[in-house]
Amino acid sequence: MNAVLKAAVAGMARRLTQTVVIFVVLAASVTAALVGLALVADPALALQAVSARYHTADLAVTIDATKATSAQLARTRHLPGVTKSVGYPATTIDITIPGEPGYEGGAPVSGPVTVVGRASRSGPLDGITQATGHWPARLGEIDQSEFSNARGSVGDVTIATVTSVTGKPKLTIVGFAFPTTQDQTQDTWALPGEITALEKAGAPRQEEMLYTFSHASTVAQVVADLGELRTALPAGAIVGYSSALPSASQDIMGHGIRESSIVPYAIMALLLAGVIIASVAAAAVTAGYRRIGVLKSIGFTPAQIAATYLMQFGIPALAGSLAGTALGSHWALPYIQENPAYKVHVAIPVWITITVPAAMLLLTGLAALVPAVRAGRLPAIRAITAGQAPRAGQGRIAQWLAGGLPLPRPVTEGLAAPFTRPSRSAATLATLTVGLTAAVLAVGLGTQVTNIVLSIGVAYIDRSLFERLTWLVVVLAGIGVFSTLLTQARERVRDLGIHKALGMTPQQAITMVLCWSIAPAIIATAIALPAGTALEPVVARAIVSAQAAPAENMSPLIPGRGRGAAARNARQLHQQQVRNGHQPGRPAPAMQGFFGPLFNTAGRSPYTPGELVLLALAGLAIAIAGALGPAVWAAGSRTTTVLRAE
Amino acid sequence: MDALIELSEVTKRYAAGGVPALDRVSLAVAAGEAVAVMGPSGSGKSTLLNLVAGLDRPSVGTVTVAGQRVDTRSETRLARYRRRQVGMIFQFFNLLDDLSVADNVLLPAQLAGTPRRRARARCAEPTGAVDTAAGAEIGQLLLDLNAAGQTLVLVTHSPELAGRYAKRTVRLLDGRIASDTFSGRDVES
Repeated sequence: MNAVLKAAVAGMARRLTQTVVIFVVLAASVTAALVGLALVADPALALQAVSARYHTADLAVTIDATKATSAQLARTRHLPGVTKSVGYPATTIDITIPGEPGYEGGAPVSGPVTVVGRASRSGPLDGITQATGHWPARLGEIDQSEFSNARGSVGDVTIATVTSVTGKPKLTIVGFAFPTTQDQTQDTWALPGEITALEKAGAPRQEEMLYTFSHASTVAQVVADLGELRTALPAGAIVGYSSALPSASQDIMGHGIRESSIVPYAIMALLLAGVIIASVAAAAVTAGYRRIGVLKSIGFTPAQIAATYLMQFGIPALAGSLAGTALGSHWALPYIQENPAYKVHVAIPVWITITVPAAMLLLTGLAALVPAVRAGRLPAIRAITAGQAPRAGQGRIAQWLAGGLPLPRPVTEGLAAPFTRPSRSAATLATLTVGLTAAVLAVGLGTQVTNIVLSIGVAYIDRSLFERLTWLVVVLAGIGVFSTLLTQARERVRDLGIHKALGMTPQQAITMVLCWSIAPAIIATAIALPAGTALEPVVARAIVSAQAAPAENMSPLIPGRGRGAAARNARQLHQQQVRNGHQPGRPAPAMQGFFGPLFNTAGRSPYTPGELVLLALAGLAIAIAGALGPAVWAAGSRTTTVLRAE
Repeated sequence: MDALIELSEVTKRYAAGGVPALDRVSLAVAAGEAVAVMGPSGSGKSTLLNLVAGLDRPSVGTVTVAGQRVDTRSETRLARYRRRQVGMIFQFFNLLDDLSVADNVLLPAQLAGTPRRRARARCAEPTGAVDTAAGAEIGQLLLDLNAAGQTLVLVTHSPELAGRYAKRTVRLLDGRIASDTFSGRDVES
């Protein structure tokens, strides 16, 4: 085996903890970075791609069949912009559904509904998804849309009375379903024969036409398409319409916001990884001075020394990057593919699976380069004789001050210890501060993004990925603390041995080492809590600005209804939803001027007082958790070995 | 004579199957004695002191101090034993650089829970010169303590120092007691 590789492998085995730390840090940070980049680069976010994947018409139009002849309807199918069309018999009726305790306050539900006659859920231009119950199997049965404003409840109350036709017939609600997009022209479905029966009883004769167009990706294009239809039909023939664009765009915006919000997690993980690796690399070189001296003595050149250390970090970093790539792909793919509207297989682009681990390896190399080159340049004799040279005077003031506190001696020594090793303590402080800021930001961002996305109208958001990435960031911070404190414990092993020789029990040794982390934890919390809570709205607003600000104003496409009252109801409902800004489970029909409310939502603090208290304690918890391993190691270290009595 | 310190058939190996650092050593030191342990490098002097101070455990045999087995105690009990019953001066001093000399001296008492002021007061009682003592003064301090009844075991390469501070000299060679003399006469085992 090549001598440099041999020395590197031996170094990895000798410093196994360091090797494992680098592996885990790289695996975690590559996972986060890959997930973030994969989701942001999700090709399905492209509106055109999404439109192609949504099995839905661009426009659903309700036409008064008494004002347009069959020939005129047929001509609309062959208009220059129309690519496909299909028509269904329809009618608009008023229904009343008795009140049900616990639903809508127990009041009866009344309102107009457009009933579309279809033999089955799937059609050439759209697909209807059954949520509960079943599709009508016989006359007298109806399947209501989940988006309908006059909606009953399958279960105890299933009878709707048609109040606008002769005889006031009753219809049985057998199920609830929803179209792929929020098509408000199709409130209810029944068998085609039901439409005929209702028309005979006096219901208006209508036709539900679905169209796809060659250009329907922007508001202007859809408005133009609608205008083409209006021109081809008599005035007043179109009594209602619904465009797929608002809900598709809404869905994309929701996904875009959700997926963009993963990017800060990736950045936080990368920052933490950089801090940890730089600290580990610097400590490894300092601790290995004697070894470096021996290697130089037997003939290793400065370049070979540097190469040895770069390999010593690079090999576990490479293994960690590969593991992170596999894990990140495993996490990201289901998240991308969860939306059932995406009917094509989405894969993470190859360039991402190559770029992310390569970039992290480069980051590792850069972080390790300076200490590795320094190691190479160190004169051999200096390296051999350099060691834990006494640093007389450092930290004595802190020790003296701490010694005066009415606390047990191991506690006061532990509290003062960070001030005796400023550079090591700075590494612990940096790791804790970055990690805790990241945790504060992650907790707030997860809640904030959920609020924003739900207020847009996306009915459900999976928070599991946020939670996983938040824990990943927290664990990274803990690993950073563990790594820096273990390094400190190893450097102070002689002092620990003296303490134990003078009568420090193992329990007292554990207490002292745990206290090493308390002062940095308090300082880190004092910085991280305000920094994280101040940063959260900035990041949230940046995400909203990037996703929502460019979004088109959909107001020209607000669905209209056949009757004046119905149209007023629809607009009032829409405006109410926009004002409320957050309607969990109730989709907003369109996004008229939505950027403003979203931006304001993003600027509100998502933190509860309880969360802030917990986050304040989290820093201490992370610090103590990271210090536990080194503390136990310190308690168990062999006194006679480290004291070198002879 | 009741022994304060007693090693009985003690063997210490640092590696299984390796050469023993101490090989079937039996030694008794009475309360108030001053014993010098001499021998070449690698003869087992530091190992012997480490076993008596409870810093290490024998591979075989027993170590008893003040009638209590030291070699079977837990790490916690050994730590308490050292802070209360053993005073150590290391060859390489092994002082804590982060603490002042005074704080180094006070540390065992503070680990036992004695507040700093009370520990300082106690340390100041025997002699007021402890902060400025050096070399021969430290030696004189040890002689004074021994004369007051403290048991003294010291390791030295110098026959002159051995003669100055101790009446009894134990010589180790290759982990075994080569000779045990009291003022030049062999000690009865």
